[in-house]
Amino acid sequence: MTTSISRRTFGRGAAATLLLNRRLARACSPTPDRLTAEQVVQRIRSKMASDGIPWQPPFPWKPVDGFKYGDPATPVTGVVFTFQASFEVLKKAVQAGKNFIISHERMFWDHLDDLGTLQHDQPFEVPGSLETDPVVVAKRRYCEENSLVVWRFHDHQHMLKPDPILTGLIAKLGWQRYSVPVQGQMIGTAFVLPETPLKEVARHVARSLDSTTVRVIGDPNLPVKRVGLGAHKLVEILKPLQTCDVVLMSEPQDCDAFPYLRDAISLGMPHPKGLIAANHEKFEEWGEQDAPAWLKTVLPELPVEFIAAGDPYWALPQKQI
Amino acid sequence: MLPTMTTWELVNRIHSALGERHPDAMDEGILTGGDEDTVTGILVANEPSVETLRLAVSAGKNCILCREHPYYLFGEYLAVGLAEALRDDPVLQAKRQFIQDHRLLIIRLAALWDTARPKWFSAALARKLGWEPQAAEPGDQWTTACCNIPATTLEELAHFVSARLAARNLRMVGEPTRSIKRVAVIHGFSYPTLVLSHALQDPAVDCILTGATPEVDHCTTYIRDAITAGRNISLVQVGYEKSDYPGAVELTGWLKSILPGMPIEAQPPPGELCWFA
Repeated sequence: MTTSISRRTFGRGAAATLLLNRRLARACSPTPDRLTAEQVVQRIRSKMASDGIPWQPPFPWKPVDGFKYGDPATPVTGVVFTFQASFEVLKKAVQAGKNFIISHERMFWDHLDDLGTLQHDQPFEVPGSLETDPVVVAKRRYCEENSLVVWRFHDHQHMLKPDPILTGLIAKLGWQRYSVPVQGQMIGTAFVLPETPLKEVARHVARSLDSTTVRVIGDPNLPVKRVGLGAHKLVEILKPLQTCDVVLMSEPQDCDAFPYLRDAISLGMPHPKGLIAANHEKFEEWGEQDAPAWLKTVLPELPVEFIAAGDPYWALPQKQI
Repeated sequence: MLPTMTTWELVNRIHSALGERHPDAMDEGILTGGDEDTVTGILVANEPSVETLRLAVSAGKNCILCREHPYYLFGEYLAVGLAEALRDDPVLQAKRQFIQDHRLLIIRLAALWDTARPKWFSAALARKLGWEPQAAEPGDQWTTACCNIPATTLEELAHFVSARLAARNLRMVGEPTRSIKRVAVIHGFSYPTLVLSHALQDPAVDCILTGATPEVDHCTTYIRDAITAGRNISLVQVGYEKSDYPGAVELTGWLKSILPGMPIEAQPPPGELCWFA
């Protein structure tokens, strides 16, 4: 009988060897009253259970949530909520004296997700793979040197009622009174606005989300009354594109959704008519700002704060359309 | 009488001229029309948009040679489930009807170019920017073309590229004052992250210039982390279509050399579809 074991699980057992480093040993000194990362997660799961949300409901996909780096048995000095555990966010967490980062998105790239410690993983590394990339190594080493623990809270966070990511976005847009429920779509909300030209709707979105790189497709003077929501892929926004004047979309790809919009407009189709493309961070980060208050209700004894991952892009000054 | 050939003969001529018969890629090859249809003229365009198809019809060219898919099936990363979802889509149905009504022959050959001449499109983009791409090492299959350029800053480079490509919608990652002397030019959609990781194996590369990249789970965040890790690097996204157009122009010249007498032209430079709010 063979038992498959992830590198993460194996690596946890080997993590104790890291305590040879004095700095780590100091940071990880167990104290009777210091919660571990695992215990913080248990508080979160208990709170969700008390709100009627089971921890492992039957997702139609493999859930992405869980510990992504560090030893869950690490005593926590403070908690950071963030949209994405970028290297910059990790450094800010350390500066703030907090070593447990709860991240909505992945901390590495190309779906690199199952990692143990650097020392443990070395025999498994494939030359030329992303694991041997100096940026990956530097980020991992920083986590280990600072006893950081990173836990991903994505699929289950979206299950909270209401979805904090969505409510954060709606609040930032100031569109609470315009929101209406929709069925059978990736994001079950649309907005019915007073009729407004597309350029004004888009500018409102850019100002509200504090982004200078919101891209727009469509006639700037297109009258907009109904705004749909969507994310990432054309296949996921087809329905709102067919029912709304414009769709506010998170991180589209030029080579995917854009050609479809171009053709629809060329053909003079009644739908779709427009797209407002926001960065992924600026679409979802607002919900993380409220997360510390949510967690403090069950974790009063630890400091909890939000650290922004921020807009990755800047653009050249533009003459406004 | 002008020479004519069938779509199958055209594809075979291209393969032969490239030196070998490359395997067909998924969702590529002769996508509309039949093997035995006669090609009367070729419009080279990266995106076989409705606009492009109308241009081909008005120019009397019944064949469109392109990099992208007429029905939006870019590739596995993005197109999972899309064909099924578009089955009754009114936009796709209208486009398909137009193609059928005008008996257009659409041939998509993207993987072929990138396999046979990996640096072709990136080098064309570099040349359009007035740069000389470094000669490739034998066996180098990466599409990246590296160029040493006069020392500049990211902001200055962005202004230069914007003017040179008539591209307004550039997006940059990195401090505007960051110094740049060596650019890794990667046409099109730079994905996955390993593509950028490979470019950074050259320690002198201090800028990646590409069409577009995925943001969060892949390339853009990698570059942000590389900067935080201390690497002198920045990222310039010029737009997917803008990055591929110079390659289409050079490809048109090459096609004319292997198909003497066949009416061939490149589409005019495509306008940018989007604008900043």
